[in-house]
Amino acid sequence: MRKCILTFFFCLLSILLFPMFKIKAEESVQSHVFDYEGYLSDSEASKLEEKLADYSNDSNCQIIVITSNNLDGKNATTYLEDFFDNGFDLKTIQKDAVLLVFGKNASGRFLEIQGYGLCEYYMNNDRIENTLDEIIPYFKKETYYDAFIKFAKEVKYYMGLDHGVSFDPQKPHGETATASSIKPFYYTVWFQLFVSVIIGGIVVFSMAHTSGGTMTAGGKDYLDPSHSGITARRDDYIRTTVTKVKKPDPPKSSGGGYSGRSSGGGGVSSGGHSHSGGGRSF
Amino acid sequence: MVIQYKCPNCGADMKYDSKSGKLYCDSCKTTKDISQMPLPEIPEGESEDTPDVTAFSPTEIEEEVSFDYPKEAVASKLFDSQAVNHYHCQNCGADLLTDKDTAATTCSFCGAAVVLGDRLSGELAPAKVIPFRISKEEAQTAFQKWCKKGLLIPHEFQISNRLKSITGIYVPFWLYDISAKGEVDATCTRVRTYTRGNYIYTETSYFHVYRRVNINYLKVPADASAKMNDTLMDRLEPFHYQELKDFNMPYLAGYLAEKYNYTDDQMFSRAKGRVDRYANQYIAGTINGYSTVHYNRKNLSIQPRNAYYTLMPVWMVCYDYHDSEHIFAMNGQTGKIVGKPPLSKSKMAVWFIGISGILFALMQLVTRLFLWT
Repeated sequence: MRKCILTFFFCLLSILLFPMFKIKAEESVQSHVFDYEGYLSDSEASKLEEKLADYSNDSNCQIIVITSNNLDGKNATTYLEDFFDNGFDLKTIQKDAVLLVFGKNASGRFLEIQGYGLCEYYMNNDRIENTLDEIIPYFKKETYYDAFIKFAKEVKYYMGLDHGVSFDPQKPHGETATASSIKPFYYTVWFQLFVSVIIGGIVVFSMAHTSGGTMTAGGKDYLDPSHSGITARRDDYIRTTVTKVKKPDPPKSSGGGYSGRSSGGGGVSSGGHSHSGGGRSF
Repeated sequence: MVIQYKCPNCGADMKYDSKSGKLYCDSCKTTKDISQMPLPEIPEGESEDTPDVTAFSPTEIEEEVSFDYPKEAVASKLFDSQAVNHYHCQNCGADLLTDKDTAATTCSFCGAAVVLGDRLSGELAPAKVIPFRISKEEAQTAFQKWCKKGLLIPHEFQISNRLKSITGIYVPFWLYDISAKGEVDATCTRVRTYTRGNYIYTETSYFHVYRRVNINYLKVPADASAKMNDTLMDRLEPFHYQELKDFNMPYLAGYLAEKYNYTDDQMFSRAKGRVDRYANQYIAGTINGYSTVHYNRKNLSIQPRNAYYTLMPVWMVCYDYHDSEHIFAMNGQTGKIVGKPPLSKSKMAVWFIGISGILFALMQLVTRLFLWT
């Protein structure tokens, strides 16, 4: 009997905890490098392809880098959105993906990064800004291979970092993590574990405490209602005082607050895929 | 004075039967109404017999001078004087094993039900009794069932029959009728908040409140035996007073009975403590509709009106487990069981892990369902 119960709990727990150890993304045949402008040498490109496949596997998302100078006549945001929609339809790009496009045009160099699926939350606008900060120096030095590797490392790092990630479906495009959108503490594993242990302890303690029977007789059991009651009473009003306090200001709407850094932001592609994003010219 | 109830048909010893509420003869199955039972025949010439006289009524006695000791000293002296008595079974003549508090027992040699009349008369005469409703067999099975149901009781304890002894005993209680008169004077507030424009207004209205109450409690019990654990006895409550009967010795035939160790005055403080709690709750309940209550003055006077010396039916059960004894008590009228059972550490661990695990799993599930789309 006891064994049955234990086995049951074990199964239940393992089923529920299973999603925590996500299965490694299945060996993808999808490509990761689309060097249309030839910024990389052939050997670099094939090496990068291998590396990105590894990083993609490790971070459970598909990391894609693209070089395009003319962007097929679109702006960078639309170009990446269309690229994702197209690849997703053809099943060459998986649901969870981070895309980067780099190019040069008359006005200078530009970079755009977008996150889809889970990456919309993990690679949120704020993190994309940070990533841009990190990788732009490499592009300035024109060490493109290192730049892309650095990018992949950043993605892997952020994909494994839960802190500050908001899954709030009310905030589209993986809004920048602010105090109000940070994953609330009561969703964290540690807090929930702590609460369940405390409650379990209280329940077992009270079970042990009441195992010997409890006092159930109270005043009502012995009261003689026909000979009990109020014999005199008064309720005199004295006065009323009124105080007032100013209404607290409503909390400022979250998001944004990084003006001057981003030219992009999140959005929804024409194919209906919501994504986070950020881009810069430099 | 030893009283035994003999069957009018066959002369065997009769016992009180909890089912029929009558005296019952095991040998010829005769039952006899308690009210019809003739007064016991008392053989003449026995040394422990006291002559049957009608007590003097208070008007017949004139007190010349008072040498009153404080009441406690008198009481203990009275009890000590009882300790020296020896009683003999009228069937076999054997010495009855009694201590100074025993008021009814069975002969350890022939098993005859014996009531010690002199310990149940005069000052020690109970006013009321609640007869047993639960028979020994029912009590036994109920205890075993209760153990099996206990969620934290060790498996070993549940399955093995470790019942060492089960004894039906009439425990002496004082039942107090208590009158409580209370008076409170309080300042109370009602608080209302509302919003106008950019401000939140808090409106506090003050009231001067007065209540005078007269509360009467009937038959608040307090166990008057020194041997019985007070908390254990308290937990046995409630007893149903509909079945409270005027005391009659035949109810005791076949059970143990004890006489009180503490007088009604000595026990009143316990009952008073309870009534004090009850009365305070009652008074608090009369002041309604306020947000806060602050007592300026509170007077509560608690006075006893009556005290009834009453015998209550209790099954005492002794279990033997791991070299220690576990005592349980069952309300012989309602069947409520109390007592500290042994607790199984492993069962506690299983429950703890189970409850915490399920809670944690549920919380994780909810988190995942709502946050991972």
